Amino acid sequence: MAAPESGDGNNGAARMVTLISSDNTRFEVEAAAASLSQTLQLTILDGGGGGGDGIPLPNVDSATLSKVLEYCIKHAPAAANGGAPNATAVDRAELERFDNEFVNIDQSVLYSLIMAAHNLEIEGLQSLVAKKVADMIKGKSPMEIRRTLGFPDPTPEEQAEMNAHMLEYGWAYE
Amino acid sequence: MDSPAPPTPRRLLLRSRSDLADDVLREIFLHLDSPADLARASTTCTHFHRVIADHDFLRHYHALHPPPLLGILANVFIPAQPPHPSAVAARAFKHADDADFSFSFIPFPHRWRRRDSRDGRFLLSGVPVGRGHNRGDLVWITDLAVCEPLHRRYHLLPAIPVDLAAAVHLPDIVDFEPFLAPAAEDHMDTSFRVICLAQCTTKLVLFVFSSSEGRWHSVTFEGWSALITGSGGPASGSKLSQRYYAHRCFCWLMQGMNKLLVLNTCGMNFSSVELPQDYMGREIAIVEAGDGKLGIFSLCSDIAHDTVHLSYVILRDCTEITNQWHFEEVLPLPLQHHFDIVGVAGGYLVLQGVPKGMSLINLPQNPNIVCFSLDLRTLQLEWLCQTSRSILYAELYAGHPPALSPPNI
Repeated sequence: MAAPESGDGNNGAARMVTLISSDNTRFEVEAAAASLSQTLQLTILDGGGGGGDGIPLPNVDSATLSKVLEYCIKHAPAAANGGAPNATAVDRAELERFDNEFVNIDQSVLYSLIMAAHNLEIEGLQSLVAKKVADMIKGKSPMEIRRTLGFPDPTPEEQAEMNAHMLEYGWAYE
Repeated sequence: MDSPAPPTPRRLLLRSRSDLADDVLREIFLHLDSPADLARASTTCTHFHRVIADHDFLRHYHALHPPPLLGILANVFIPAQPPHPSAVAARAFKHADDADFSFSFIPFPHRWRRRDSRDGRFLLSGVPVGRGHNRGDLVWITDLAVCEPLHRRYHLLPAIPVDLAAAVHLPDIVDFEPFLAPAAEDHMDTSFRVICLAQCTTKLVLFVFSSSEGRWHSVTFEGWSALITGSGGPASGSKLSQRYYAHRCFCWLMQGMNKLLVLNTCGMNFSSVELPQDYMGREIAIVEAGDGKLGIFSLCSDIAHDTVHLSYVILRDCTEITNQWHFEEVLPLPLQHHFDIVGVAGGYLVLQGVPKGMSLINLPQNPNIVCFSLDLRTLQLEWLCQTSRSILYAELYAGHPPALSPPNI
């Protein structure tokens, strides 16, 4: 990878760490990007993940991890500036454009991403994907929400329980 | 899209009853802005219902999504009506047993009357058994109760202790005003505060009850005398207007003085702010303008043209002392009515429009009174509800529907 424009390493060369997905694919990435994950941050600060070691991530497969890292690499420079209080409007607009495109993905990928973002505790990504799912269920009836999220139809027992709750919430869908 | 097999990861949401899955769901639901969306999500499956009905989740949700304006509580509850955006949530109050706004659950309900409301709670003051509702009872109130009409709960406050009450002498009291204040910022759960403001001839004394501590304390503002005599005001004191709340501060217009009295509830200290003009005799409302600023709406009549408009100014910087008001907007109001300000709640200023030629005090049978709400962010005037009752001594009710409101007393 080319030398980063805003790396935190000496001599312009950023420190790299290796992450290993559940299916044993190795990803080499700048420490600054991987550190967007609260889960990884301490390990990386302690000097872990460098050289031939790598940090194993048994809960994240390679397809999902590659997507997660795409987000981290894009957001790392702004995060390094402390949330980029002095970022230009152009920079912010560019990140917003990236975010909108980023979650414009197949639902199965989206759900994997949610779980990975929570496992790795990447705050911005957690919020981004949660908002996307929330947008998908806004204005929908309970049955439409089930279909949107790919849930099977409720069992008779579950339906009976939900019918009891409907009384309290009837105002929301008259 | 071709989908030969159902996507496997969807099962992550359903399969795992672990804390992680619940965390994910909570994060998603916190992004649902409207109570109706949250209610529909709650009836999607038993797992979603369990996560949403959790009281800690709902309190977190309420902290992020301030309660919407649901209606006006006058003699009866008048809900927001379609097509107003609040009408959907207000439908949750359609049945008489959805909430008890007559507070029949408190002992001797006829003894109590409504004084204030905030965050779904109401403050009532009581008259001791055997005494009437006369003026003298308002000078020093001993019986106060905080009630929750949704859950029919109440909390009787202890009387202000004698040693604290000694800070004021009854003959010196010009006015005694009890009201609800938000909890201190580090107690956002079920706690609340009640404030009694005793306005005396030479000082202001605050009696503050904190539900988390379960006791009263008092704060005396000795600067009151200087504040009211400084500009040559009458020595008998300055009459305070109706009370408004904005950005954790209570504000009163000091009539005849071109000043606002501001009580900051964080430090319980008073300050005053010069006003850009004399609002004497005008109906005003103090509101939350954007970025933590204060705004003032005032109703202005143009008698020559028989029109009414709202004038809006914003306090530019609370730290400056003079010339800090910024004239913002003049909003014309519908011509068929004359207007009164009902109050401010849930991000709206509410006005009642009485058809021209009628008086609020002496209304004919079935008058057609229309209430309008002004969105404080967009300054859009919308039709809120219509009623055939005059709205006097009313409280605006902003809250979440019963099923989404955990008990908060």
